[in-house]
Amino acid sequence: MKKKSIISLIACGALALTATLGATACNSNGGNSITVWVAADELPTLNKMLDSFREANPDFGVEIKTGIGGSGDALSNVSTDPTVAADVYCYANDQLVDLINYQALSPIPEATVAKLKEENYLNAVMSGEHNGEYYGYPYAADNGYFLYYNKAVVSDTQAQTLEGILQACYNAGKYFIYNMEEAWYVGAFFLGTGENCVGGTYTIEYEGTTVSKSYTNFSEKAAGQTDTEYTIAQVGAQAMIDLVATYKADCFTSGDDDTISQYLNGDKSGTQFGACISGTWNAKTIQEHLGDNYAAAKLPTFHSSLTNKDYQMGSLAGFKLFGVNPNTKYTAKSHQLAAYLTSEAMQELRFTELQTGPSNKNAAEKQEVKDNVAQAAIAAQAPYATLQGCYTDSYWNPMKQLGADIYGEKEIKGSVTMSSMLAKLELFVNNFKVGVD
Amino acid sequence: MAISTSELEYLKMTAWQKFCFKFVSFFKSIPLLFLNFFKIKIPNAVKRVGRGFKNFGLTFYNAARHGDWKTRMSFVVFGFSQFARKQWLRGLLFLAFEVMFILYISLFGWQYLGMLGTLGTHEGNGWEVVDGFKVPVQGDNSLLILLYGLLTVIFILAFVYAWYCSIKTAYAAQETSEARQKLATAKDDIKSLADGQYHKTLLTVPLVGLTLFTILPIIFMVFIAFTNYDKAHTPPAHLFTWIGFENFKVVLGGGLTGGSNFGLTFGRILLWTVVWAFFATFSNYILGIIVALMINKKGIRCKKLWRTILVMTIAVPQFVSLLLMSQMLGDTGVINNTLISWGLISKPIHFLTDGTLAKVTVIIVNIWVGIPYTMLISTGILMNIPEDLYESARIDGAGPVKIFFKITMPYMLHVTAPYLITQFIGNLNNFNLIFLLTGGNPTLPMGYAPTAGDTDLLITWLYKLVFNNSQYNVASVISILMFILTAVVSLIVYNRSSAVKNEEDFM
Repeated sequence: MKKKSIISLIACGALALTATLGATACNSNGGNSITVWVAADELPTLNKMLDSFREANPDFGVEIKTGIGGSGDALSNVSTDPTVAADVYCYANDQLVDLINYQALSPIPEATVAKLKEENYLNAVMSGEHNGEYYGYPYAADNGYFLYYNKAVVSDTQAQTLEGILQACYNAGKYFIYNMEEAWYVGAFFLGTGENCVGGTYTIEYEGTTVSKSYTNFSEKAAGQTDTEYTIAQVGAQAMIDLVATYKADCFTSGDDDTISQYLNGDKSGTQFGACISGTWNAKTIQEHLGDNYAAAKLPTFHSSLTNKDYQMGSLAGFKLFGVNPNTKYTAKSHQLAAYLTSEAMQELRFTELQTGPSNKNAAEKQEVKDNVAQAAIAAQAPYATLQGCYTDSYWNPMKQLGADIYGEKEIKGSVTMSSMLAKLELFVNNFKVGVD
Repeated sequence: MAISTSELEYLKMTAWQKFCFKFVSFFKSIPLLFLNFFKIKIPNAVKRVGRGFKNFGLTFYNAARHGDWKTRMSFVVFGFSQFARKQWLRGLLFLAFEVMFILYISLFGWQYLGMLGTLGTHEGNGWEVVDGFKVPVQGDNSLLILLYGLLTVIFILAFVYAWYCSIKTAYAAQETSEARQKLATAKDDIKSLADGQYHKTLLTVPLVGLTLFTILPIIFMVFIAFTNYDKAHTPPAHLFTWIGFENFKVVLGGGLTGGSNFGLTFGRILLWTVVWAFFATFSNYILGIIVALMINKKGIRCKKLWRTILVMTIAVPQFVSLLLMSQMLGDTGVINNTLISWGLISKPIHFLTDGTLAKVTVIIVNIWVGIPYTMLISTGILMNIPEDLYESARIDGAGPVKIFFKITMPYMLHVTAPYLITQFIGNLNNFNLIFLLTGGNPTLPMGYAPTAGDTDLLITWLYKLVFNNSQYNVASVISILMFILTAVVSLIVYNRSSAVKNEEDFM
């Protein structure tokens, strides 16, 4: 019993030391350099950009390093510890608010914002805006989806309507692939039915502060429906139910990029690919498989069995931006670098090397961009696209659930009536409003 | 065993009656078990704690009452008595600890301790302009406050303990010197660390590691369950604070927004978790034993070959086989494509995308990855069962089925009950299998929380809540409930297993 205390003393001492060290070490930030993160396949292009940047700014004075972190993973990469994340990194605009919450984005000075607005499409610049501050230098405007089709199966006129596409696929024994289990794509049927795609902005009292959020107003009437009672939710949901009930497994399937490539590869009799809804990232793959039959267009219209009218399918549009980490040692220089990486010349280089659709007006007006089939299609879809950043978290999960329910025929098999489904949709809309995830 | 039935009556029963009787008496005994726990164990524990406190207080009292001035000075200056009695090393350590503690608290600890009650009041909103650029204003960081606050509390407890030790050893030293015996010198102390106190030398590093990397995070996580730390309250830009038992209400179906959704989902997933654990454990166990028996059977050729083939599935990393399986079983996977091209089916079978079928699929795939382990374990045990038992049974005219249930199974169960329990608990938390195979999908129908899927176990749902939805508070509640579930199940079953009750019976 006598000497018991010594070890516990040492133990406590070690505990205290660790605590003190841990506390003092937490505010140290990277070395004397600026780090830029991009996706792995963009690294060679980034290195070219950096070479020309160094040439243009010989007296920059700070070493520039590169690292890997794609725009889609920015939130998970940065949020682990913003103080050690890259000084300049790219992100997709749907992560904006979360990144701001982690204090991981530095606002752009007003003068620069004015210049950005002048040079880029307004939507692209606005996608980096939150509460009056601008947090991103846009460089890509092609983060959306549209229609790809196989000209050997679907004619250009048939590609205008969903019914035409499905009929053509059915006749040819090919498939139309549309991801009905992913919230991002499911929106297509609802966003198209309203004239004003986004239902509007609503404000809620949230712990003393008023928060305004945008949402798709599913209980609003569909466009031009003054005499009937059908809401956007009903029209969209019914169209999805019809699609699944009539065509599922015969010539329509839901699936992700893997599924698309599987159908492209096809079986012994050749490709099973008729058409699909996807984005620019699949352009290369689809073109390689289809060769001369490769084609893309805006999303088709669909015919509602409820209202007996045609509606244009809508889409969500996203942008990619470069942001500056406020924890950087070199705020001004990081902003300078980010602005350079998204300048007209660099966006052109990006398009040549990576086929990224430019957000810069001049770059986007170039003939080679216009000649690009996928870029032309996304431009044609643009009028029917909704900026995705305005959706709250409570949009994505319920939307996914809705799509999965319909695709899994949970809404078709049973004795589900439109009214019982409406009750669920009502709940769904309410969940949006209170922000339940 | 018998509650109101004599042993004789029990022996008279038929096998089926015996089974029913055991079944009923097991459930009858559960309330008794709890009663026992609350009536005897808890008061005992309270008594023991009380005695501990009494001794603790008594030490201070004795030292203050009977101590000389050197001992009494130790109340204020740690190690004073030791210094005065020329126990330099001890004195130095005690004093160093006190100094370190005072420095830590005054320079660092107190600010976090003070904010532990509110978890910060100053939200880091707004901007300040530095060199023409706006920089976010640093507010209080609730996460760091909670973490360092807890660390400080632990440190204070350690300090109190060190204080107690300092006084106790001071008084003991005083008594020793009064009895004119030799006091331990620094040399003796160090020597004793390699001799009488050797266990402490060995255990210090693990203890510190355990405290910092296991106990502190667990306490930290438990406290998160009582805060509103979710996506809307993410530090550093936002604060979170204490909200009591609100999260528990949400998970159990009450509470405010979406509570009913959550309660419903929690119930459904809990049920599936238990069902899954039951089937996954026993299907593997029974089929594994059967496979082992088949291979062990006399007259079977190439025993080693069969065993090797089965063990091959262990040699392939589990995640590889699982990812392959999930690819193969997909709607457009190899299996469906093959069946379609053979003309056996016209539409793909939704192995992983239909709720009910997916549940069956994961259990079957689990059999594939799990059987070899049970087979290996039971092979060893089966070979250990004395052959003369079987021989005499055969001479007495017992058939193979009877031998299996009377000799093999009791023997197996006795040895492997703890293994079964760990398997069951392991399956309750079998993250790998579910996550890699189905990812918890397909999504639950509307009316349930959209974050969860049909095949989600509590543990995979928890993962999704944390990593995809940042609902740390609710996830923390779920993990606490999961801990209670696994602890209760394993304690009850383990204490009632024959391996524990009849420990000496083996062989």
